[in-house]
Amino acid sequence: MEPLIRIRGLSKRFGQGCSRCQESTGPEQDTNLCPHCGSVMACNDVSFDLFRNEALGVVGESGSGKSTLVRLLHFEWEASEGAVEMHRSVGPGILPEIFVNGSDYSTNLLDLSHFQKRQLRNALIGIVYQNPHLGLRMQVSSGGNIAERLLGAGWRHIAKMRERSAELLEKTEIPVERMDEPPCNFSGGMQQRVQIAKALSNNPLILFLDEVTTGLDLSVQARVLDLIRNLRSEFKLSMLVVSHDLGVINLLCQRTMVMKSGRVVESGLTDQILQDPRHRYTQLLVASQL
Amino acid sequence: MQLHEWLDKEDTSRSNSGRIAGYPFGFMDEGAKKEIRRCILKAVAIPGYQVPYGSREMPIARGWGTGGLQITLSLVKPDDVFKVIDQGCDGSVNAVNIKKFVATVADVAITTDTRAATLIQTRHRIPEERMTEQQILVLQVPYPEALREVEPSETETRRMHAEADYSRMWLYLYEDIVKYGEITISYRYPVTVNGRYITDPSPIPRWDVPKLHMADTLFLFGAGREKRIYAIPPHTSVEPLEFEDHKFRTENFSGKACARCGATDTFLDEVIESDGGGRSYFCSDSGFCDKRSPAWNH
Repeated sequence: MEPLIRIRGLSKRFGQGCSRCQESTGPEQDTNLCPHCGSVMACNDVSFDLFRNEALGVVGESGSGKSTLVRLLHFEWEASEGAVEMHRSVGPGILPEIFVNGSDYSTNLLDLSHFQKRQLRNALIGIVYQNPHLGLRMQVSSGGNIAERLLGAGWRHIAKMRERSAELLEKTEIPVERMDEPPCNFSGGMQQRVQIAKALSNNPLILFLDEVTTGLDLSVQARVLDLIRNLRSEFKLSMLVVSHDLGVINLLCQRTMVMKSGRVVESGLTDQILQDPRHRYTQLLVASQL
Repeated sequence: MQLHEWLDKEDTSRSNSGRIAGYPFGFMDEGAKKEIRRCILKAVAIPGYQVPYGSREMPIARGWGTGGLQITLSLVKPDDVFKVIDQGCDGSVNAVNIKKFVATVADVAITTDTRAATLIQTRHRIPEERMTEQQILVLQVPYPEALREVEPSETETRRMHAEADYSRMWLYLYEDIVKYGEITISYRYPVTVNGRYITDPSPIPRWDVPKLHMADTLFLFGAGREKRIYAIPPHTSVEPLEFEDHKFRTENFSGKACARCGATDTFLDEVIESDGGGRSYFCSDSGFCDKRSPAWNH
């Protein structure tokens, strides 16, 4: 099977950079801060493939570059280096010009214009942030929040948009009669579920989950995770699940990458990584979790 | 002191043509006029796009029509016939002052007849009579940015225009419909020009918005305080933002007629009478009303 997206050598550097950045940062040095020029290598030479209907986990401690990775792939931040290519089957008809000479993979998506990136994002990608404030407009009704993505994708029929919003809110277990209330009236767990509904509204193929359950209490966590699992099989989503919680990764993901100081130190099947961690840092992570 | 009194007093300083000596034709220097004409050309080439320009000091305060006035002065020729409308009315203080000023510095003929004019400067209305390809309508604009309601940052609204990222404007209309059952914007109704830019048509009533669509006339918009010029060229599509199940509609004056000329097909102003508080309606476009009610002409 061919991967849906290929990510190669993705890097994000904050600061000028120097010739010694590469050798002075990383897991061996236990830092992502270059002592010579003061640059931060937030994400360094990350390569992986994401397959259709797969959940790929990314674990690591705070500052390991997990969220940076998601922001680069969501086109929120500009990458310093690297390539992201998507398979032709992802979005037939969307930006046909990026598949040069009928090739199976697109040109580097990171080189596209802001306008093209926005079109791709509106059509293909959903994202759920740790903090609902980042993904939702708190003063706009929940139905409106969901409609915003539909409007961005070209929907222009109020009744149809409300129907779709209601359908999604029902799936994410929000009472439909509260559709016209703003999310600021809701509890944290409900806000998170509205955010998931919003992310799913345009039928994305790819969903980024950035620490979705952090800050929720255990019973709510379990319901949100259940929901995500069901939605993945229902919508055939490819998910990138970022978390520092190995329990979440264990529950959701078949494959996992472990990040440390901006680099990937280990990757493989989740079971394998949890039961037979190879890298010293992964061993530490697993040991401290269990 | 009134302008004409001052001019009479300074009569010795006036040149043979009747204009004030010491000022170039049209008040502004040629360099300024050239810059504004270039911006107008750019605006016409990119319909609905706001072109920044260096707004000059005018002898009236910013916010009182200086944007429109600068466009007018950069375009006016001695053989032009000029008309000024202020909220439909030819006779309001602002309209009369701008008219007198332009007549003084550019030596043009003045009219109240839409058909006779070649250049019309207006605030908040488009004339009722359909204008021709021989005419230009200059609109004064207080707030050129249609997205300002939803986004206070200029940097951000420029990015939104560049990426055609208009979902927040649409969301604003969606919320309006959810809350009130219809879109509550009464004037400054946002439009999509040439299928690309969302544009502020200046504070014209909804009634006038359809007149912009596929018109024969060039519409130029000048915002002096905000330093922007934009244009809707002739034969350009102008679509008010609307939903498939909530269509744009204009004001409804059914059952009402102008108390002066009896018109039932014009935009009407409601006037509350001072004695008794009764309501009557008059055409907002006074030039058109005058034409149709000869009895009132003197």
